[in-house]
Amino acid sequence: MSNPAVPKKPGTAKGRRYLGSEIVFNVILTLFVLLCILPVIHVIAKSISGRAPVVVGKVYLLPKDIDFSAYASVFNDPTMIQSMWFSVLWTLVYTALAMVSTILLAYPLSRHYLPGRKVLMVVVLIPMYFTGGTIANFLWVKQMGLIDSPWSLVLPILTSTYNTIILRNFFESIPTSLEESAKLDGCNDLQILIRIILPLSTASLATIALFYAVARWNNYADVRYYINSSKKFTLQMKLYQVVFASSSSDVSMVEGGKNAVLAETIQCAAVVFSTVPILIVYPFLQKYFVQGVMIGAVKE
Amino acid sequence: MQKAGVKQVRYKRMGFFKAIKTYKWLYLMLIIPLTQYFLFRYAPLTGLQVAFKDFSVFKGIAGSPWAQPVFKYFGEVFESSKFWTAVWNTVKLNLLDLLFGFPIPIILAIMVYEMRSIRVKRVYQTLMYLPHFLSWVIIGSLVAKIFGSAGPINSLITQMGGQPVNFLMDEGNWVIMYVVTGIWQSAGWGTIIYLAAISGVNTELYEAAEVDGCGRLRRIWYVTLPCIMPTIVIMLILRLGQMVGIGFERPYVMMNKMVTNSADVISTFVYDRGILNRQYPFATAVDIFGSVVNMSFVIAANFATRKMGEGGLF
Repeated sequence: MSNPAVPKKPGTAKGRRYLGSEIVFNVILTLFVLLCILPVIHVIAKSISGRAPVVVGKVYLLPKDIDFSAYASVFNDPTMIQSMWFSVLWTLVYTALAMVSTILLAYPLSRHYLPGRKVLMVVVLIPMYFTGGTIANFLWVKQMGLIDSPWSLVLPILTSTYNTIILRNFFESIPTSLEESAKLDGCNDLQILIRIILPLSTASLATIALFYAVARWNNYADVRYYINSSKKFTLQMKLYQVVFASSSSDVSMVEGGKNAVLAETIQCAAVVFSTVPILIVYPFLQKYFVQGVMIGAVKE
Repeated sequence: MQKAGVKQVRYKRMGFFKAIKTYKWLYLMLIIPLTQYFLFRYAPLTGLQVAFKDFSVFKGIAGSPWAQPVFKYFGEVFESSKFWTAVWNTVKLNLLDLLFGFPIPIILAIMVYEMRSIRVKRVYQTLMYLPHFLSWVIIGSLVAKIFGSAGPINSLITQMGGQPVNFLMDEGNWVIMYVVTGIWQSAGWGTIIYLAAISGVNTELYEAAEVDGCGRLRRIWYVTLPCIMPTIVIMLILRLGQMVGIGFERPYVMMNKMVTNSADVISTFVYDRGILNRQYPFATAVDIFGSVVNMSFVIAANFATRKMGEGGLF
C-alpha cells in the first residue's frame, strides 16, 4: 500500500489547478505533522540544555546552554541501564518464543485439509471475545507462582490471536504445489514448514516479529500488575518512576517515596533514552507495519 | 470476502486415528500453542468464580467458601458510587474520543491522497505515523513535560501576559487533554485504512467527475467520500463496539489525584480495587460486568458489519 495513489490523477497535467486547495491541504498537513514531532523535539532540546534555562521555562525547541550532563546522570544510574538491558533481553526472549508459538499455530490452521481445523479455529477465537479480565489473570499468574518473575511478561501473552490470523492468511496464499512436490520427495509436514514455507515468508515473519517486539517493549500494564522488585522493572516502568513517581501525580506509588525529585533535564534525558530504541527501528517498523496492517485488513 | 474455491471443496471424512496418523506432524506442532492457550487463556477463567466467593488467599480459589448470598459482591459493586463514576467516565471518554477522534483520520487521509508528489506524501505519512509507536508511558511523560505548570505552553501563556492554565490538574481541562492526546497518538496511524480504501477507488470516476466540471473539493465530496463510505461505516461500527472498554495504560499514565473523579475508568478502578487493595471478589465482579457488556457490544458490532455484507471482524 506504500504508494496508494500512483495512478494518474486528474488535474496533474495542469500544474496550477487547485492551487487554493493545494495550499490549504499542505498547511493543514504540515501543522499536523509538526504537532506530531514537536513534543519529541522539545524534550530532546530540554534534555541537552543547562538546568537554569529549563527551570525558568526558556527552552522551547532549541537547546540553551548546551549541557550533556543529564545524559551522564542517566548513563551513570545503574538502575536505568539495568532496566534497559532487562527490557532488551526479555523483548528478545518474548519475540523469539512468540514467533515459534505463532508459526506452530498458524501453519496447521492454514492447512484447509486438516481434520478438526474448524474446532481449532473456534478454540483460538473465543479468547478474543471472552477473557478472564485483569483480576482472574492476575490470580492465575499468582497461582502459577509467576508473580515477580519475568516469565509473567512472556507466557500469558505468548500467542497473539490477531498475529496468528495474519500469518495464517499469508500461509494460505502460498501455492500448494510446492508442498505437494515436497511430500512426494518424502518430506514430513515439519520439514515442509521449515524448509519451504518459512523461507518464502520472511517478509511476513519480519512484520509479525516487529509487532511482537514493539508490543513487548511498549507494554507497561503487565509490568505494573505482575512485577514488584525494582530489579525487574522494564524501561517503561523505570521511566514512569523517574517522571511521575516523585511528583504528586502518582496515585499509587508504593516505593517511590525514596526517589527525590529529579532535575527536569534528567527526566527529559530519561524520556529520550527510552524513546531512542523505537526511533532507531522506526524506519523499518513503518514499512513492515503498514504491510502488516494491510495483510490484516484483507482478512478472510 | 469468501475465498472462492478453497472452502467449497469437501474432503473425505477421515477416522480419528487415521487422521492422527496421517497428519501427526501438524498435530504435534499444535502442542506448544495449544498448551499456551489452555494454560493462559482458558485456565484463568476459573478465577472468575472468585467474584462469587468469600475469597481467602490461604484457602485458594477452590477452597474458599461461596459468598452468602452468591451475588453479594455484585450487590456491593452496583451500590458503589465510585463504580458508576468509573462506568460513566469510560463511556464519556469513549464518546468524546469518537466524536472528535473519528473524523480526523478520514480528513487527513483524503488530504494526503490528494498530494501529487509521492515524496511529499511519504514525508507526511512517515511523520504522522510516529506517535503510534511511542508507548503510553512516553506519551504521558511528554504531556506532563509540555503541559505541566513549568512546561513551554504555560511559559508562553505567561510571557504573553496571561494566567498559567492548569491543564492536567483541572478536571475539565484534563478531559480535553485526554482526548487531544488520543488524537495525537492515533489519528495519523488511523489514516492507513482510509488511504487503502481511497486508493481502491476507480480512477475513471474521477475522470468522469472532471469531465462533468467538478473541482477538487466537489470531486472529494461527490466521488471519494461516497466511495469510501462502506469503510467509514465499518470503522464506526467497530469503534462503537469498543465503547465500554478503555485500556489501562492511557488513563493511568495521564491520571493524577486531582482528577480521579473524571479520569477513573473501569480498568483503572479494577486495578485500584483488585491489585492494589486486594479486594479480589469485588474487582472480579467489576471485571465480569465490564467484559459481559463489552462482549455484547463487540458481538453486536460484528453482527452489524456482517449484515452489511462486509465480512465483519472475522
